[in-house]
Amino acid sequence: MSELAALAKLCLRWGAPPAVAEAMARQLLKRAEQLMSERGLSREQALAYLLNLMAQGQAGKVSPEFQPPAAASPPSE
Amino acid sequence: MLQMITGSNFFCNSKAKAVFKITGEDAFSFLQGQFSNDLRTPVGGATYGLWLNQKGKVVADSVLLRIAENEFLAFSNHSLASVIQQRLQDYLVADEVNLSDETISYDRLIISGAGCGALIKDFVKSELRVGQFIQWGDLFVVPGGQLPFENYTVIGPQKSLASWCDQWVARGWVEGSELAWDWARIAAGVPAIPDDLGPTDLPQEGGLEVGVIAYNKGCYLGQEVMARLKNLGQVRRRLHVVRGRGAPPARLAVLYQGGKKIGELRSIAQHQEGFVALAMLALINLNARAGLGLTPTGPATIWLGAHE
Repeated sequence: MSELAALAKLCLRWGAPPAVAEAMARQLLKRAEQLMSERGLSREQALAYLLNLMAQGQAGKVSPEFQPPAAASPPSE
Repeated sequence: MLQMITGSNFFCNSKAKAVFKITGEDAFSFLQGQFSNDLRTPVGGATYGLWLNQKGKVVADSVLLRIAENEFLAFSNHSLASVIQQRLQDYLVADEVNLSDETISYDRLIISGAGCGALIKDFVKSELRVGQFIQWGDLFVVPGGQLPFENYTVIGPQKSLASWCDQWVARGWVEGSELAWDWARIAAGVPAIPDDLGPTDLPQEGGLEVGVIAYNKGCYLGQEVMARLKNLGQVRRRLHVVRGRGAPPARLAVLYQGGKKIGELRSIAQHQEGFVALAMLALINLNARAGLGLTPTGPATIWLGAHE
């Protein structure tokens, strides 16, 4: 089974409508690729991070790491 | 169950078109004398409006976020920063106002689709209504009020927006292009300023009156024309959603009905079977059921309305 098919199956199992499970899986792979170049993660790390977020979302939770980014401090005088 | 994902549930991340910080002890009074909408909102208010010229024609648009009594953040989805800056600088004479172009530091994330409001509430731990915004760290989260479906704009530094993208992807949102967003906007009849409604047009011609033009706020640039139109007149042209099949014509293509010129095309978005567009059409003699042609004697190939 391809990575895409496996992810689509997972999305289906987690309640995604069948018509869009593949689009979701495609988007997860695309975002994982972006995370690899943006944050220097390996493919496994990027996918694990996203799937962990998905699991939390599926449970109706927001990741505790998802905090307001620091507001820019005013320039010092 | 994973929240949603239908064809209309998408997010779109791009560079901001124009972002300004306006501060100084006269910031409120200066902006109130320039902006078409009433800025007498509490801190936390988000107000959409227009920058008009003295003839009441449309120069640019912005959403103004009131961060403090005399501190505002203005952003626009389509108007250029240079145009807004010039428009404000032209009338900035003796006021204590600092205008700072922050466009280069900001990205814009648009989130659209049923259920996105509930998710945003989960994220920022606060309920947001149209006309308000929330500052979440260095991000500004603003409900979109113009489109007929749930949507939010988040503006902030690119790095801070990235973690938002992760959250939406993990909840089944799919990244869309600016084109997809444009299609939704055009089909809903919402003009992009100034592409659809610009320096030759009045706000009312684009349907921008209710919630955009304030009639009881006092004087602002263009206000006399707005008051005169409300009390005495009516517009002779109006922006309409139109549709057609096949390849779209060029922007600003002239449209004909009954052998006579009746208007022109503005924004156009292509989709699989054809296109939707906004067209500025004269109201006199317009037959809404008859089609529009691209030549005086050619067949009608463009029809009013987004859907058959």
